[in-house]
Amino acid sequence: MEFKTNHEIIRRARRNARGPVWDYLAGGSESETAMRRNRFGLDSIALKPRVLRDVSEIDYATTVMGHKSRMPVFLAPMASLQLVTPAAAQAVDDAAEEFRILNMLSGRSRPSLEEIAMNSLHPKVYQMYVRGGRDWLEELLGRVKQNNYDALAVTVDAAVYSNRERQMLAGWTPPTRTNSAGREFLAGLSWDTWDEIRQIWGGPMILKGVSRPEDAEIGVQHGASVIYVSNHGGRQLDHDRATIQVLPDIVAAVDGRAEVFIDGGFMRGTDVIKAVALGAQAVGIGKLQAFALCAGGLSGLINCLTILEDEIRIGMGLLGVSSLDQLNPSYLAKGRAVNPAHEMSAFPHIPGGRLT
Amino acid sequence: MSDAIFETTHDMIMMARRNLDQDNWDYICGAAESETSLRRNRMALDCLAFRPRICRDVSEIDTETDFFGHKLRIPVLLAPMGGIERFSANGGIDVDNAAEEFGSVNFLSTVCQPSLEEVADNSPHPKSFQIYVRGDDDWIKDLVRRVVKANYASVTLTVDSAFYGNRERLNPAQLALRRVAAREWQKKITWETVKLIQDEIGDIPLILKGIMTAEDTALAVEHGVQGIYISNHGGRQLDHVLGNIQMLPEVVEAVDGKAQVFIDGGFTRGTDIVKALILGAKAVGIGRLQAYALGAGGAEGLVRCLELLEREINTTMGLIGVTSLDELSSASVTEAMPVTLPHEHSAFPHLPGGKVG
Repeated sequence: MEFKTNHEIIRRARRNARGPVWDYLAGGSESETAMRRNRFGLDSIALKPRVLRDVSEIDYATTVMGHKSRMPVFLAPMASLQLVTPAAAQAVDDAAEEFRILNMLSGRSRPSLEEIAMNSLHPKVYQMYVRGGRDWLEELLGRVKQNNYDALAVTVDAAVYSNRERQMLAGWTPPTRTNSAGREFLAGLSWDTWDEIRQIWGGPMILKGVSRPEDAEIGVQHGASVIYVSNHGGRQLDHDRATIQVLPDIVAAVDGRAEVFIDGGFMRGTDVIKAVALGAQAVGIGKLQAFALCAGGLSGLINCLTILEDEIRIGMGLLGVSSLDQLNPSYLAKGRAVNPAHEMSAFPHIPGGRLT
Repeated sequence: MSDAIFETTHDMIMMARRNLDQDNWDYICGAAESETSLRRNRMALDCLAFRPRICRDVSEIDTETDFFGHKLRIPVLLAPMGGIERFSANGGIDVDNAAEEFGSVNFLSTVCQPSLEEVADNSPHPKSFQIYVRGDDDWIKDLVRRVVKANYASVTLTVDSAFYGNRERLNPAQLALRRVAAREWQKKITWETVKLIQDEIGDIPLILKGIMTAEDTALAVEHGVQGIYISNHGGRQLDHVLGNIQMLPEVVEAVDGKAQVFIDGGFTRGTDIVKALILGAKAVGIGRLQAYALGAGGAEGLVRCLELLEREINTTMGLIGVTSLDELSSASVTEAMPVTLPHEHSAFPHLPGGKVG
């Protein structure tokens, strides 16, 4: 393995990324408060370890939507990853297959969903932004079905595109923003749209971008297999709460009727353990995934996942649990955050504390 | 004036900094003594987080409201600022032009240029005149009669300035310039002054600016005041008061629908404005932001600044899942810990060095 820590991966990624691409990957919206809150929320939870428990064998394997997963982590959908490295979405899919975890292909990345599906045998999810009416939906979902995607994630926290001021200050516009065809359909999204998609699609569906238990309840009633807690990495509504903070209420509302996924600032094995202890089935990584791809493409991503896996193993062992089902809120306590929260605050040895 | 075209408020602030000299920059950015009140304004805003709803059709968002019957394109008012001519050559006229063009309401300060009559004649939209007392009762009556004659749609009396706050960023010469002898009259303002003004203006709405407690809100409502303007003067007067938005719930409760509630102090983002409306404010005043906009590009800069705020308000409402201001409710907001150290520029994390001094 080229990198021993994710510190090195982030430093290499910064060297490899062109300025505006870095702004796109590392930034949030407006004052970046929501983005910082994600980290702050994780930093405000402390771990309460048990001792003298045999942890010589640690099993962190799980199932995600019925599929075996090597660890409770999946690759969150990220648009425009081709900016980082050509054929990035292919690298993501290959990494998921090799590492045996789930990935969600963003509807706004390259190469196409058909190209990705070729030679790809592992279960995967297609993530969509609704950008058209009935005909558009039928055409797209037909292609997704034909190419054997196992589940469909519908992103619902992007009614309006937010102001991401790092890239605006750099005078740069990402391809997702340049091509605004059908954006009005995202603003017009309602539960009727969701039901229409469900009827056309007919398979398992993931509701991505939930932050309130009321909406989780409606989602379950409308047949969602997964409630995906997300504030889009702090890239959409600024001043939203930390996703880990809203997780317990949503887990309670869902009450076992669906799986709960989460993302938003997860960078460390201990972060993943906290989410699982609070009832998440799996944790998505977005920024970390992008940093890893930027640092070394497919091998960089595999390297990063291996580091994360090692951290999960160490975290569980030191916490005194040998399988994920032993984790519960009794292992967590409220703690004061001990460092200012930002997108790199889980990595205190980065030169200057933060790479911009 | 292509200089005025900026894509973000970050750019606007940097542009304003380049255009303004150190004295003016210190005057607009600074506050009283330890600047704790100023920082608390931001801190209190940063201690509120949203609880967004999803899958609600937000294709059409309406940000309109009204100010005593006059349409506001967004719930934002141009707060009164003394010495506004320091930031833009035509002073109150530039502000008035921006309000007219964008569809806002401006408050003209007693202590700015040009005269209240000139600004009144400049445009047809209703505006508010803000009073500092600089003389005896006859002086007040004379001033108010001019204001009424010039057709100002409302009158605002500032009540938080009995003393001039120690603004320690200002050098001694600058501070001395502002401590004029006539300021002494401010110390004599009482509820009698309020009555005196009400007798002169009749049905024209009166707003008291600088209220920071439920008790004074109740007294003001008893006195028939139509507008309660929560303000700590941008942290420029009494140091160590609470952040303004913290006062909203108790003031709104004390008003009990009998007056309109306005607020200012540290509001620089669409998210800030939406939070104030969720908690019951009718509209929000912008002060520093207004001065930065004028410094960056005069009237055109101020219109652009309001457009950026409008875009942010639209984004925030859309992402919260509401399509009009009257749908906002306290279920959309909750307490949270702040994630940045608050200061006058802390809503703008990409400024070089984090803060422009």
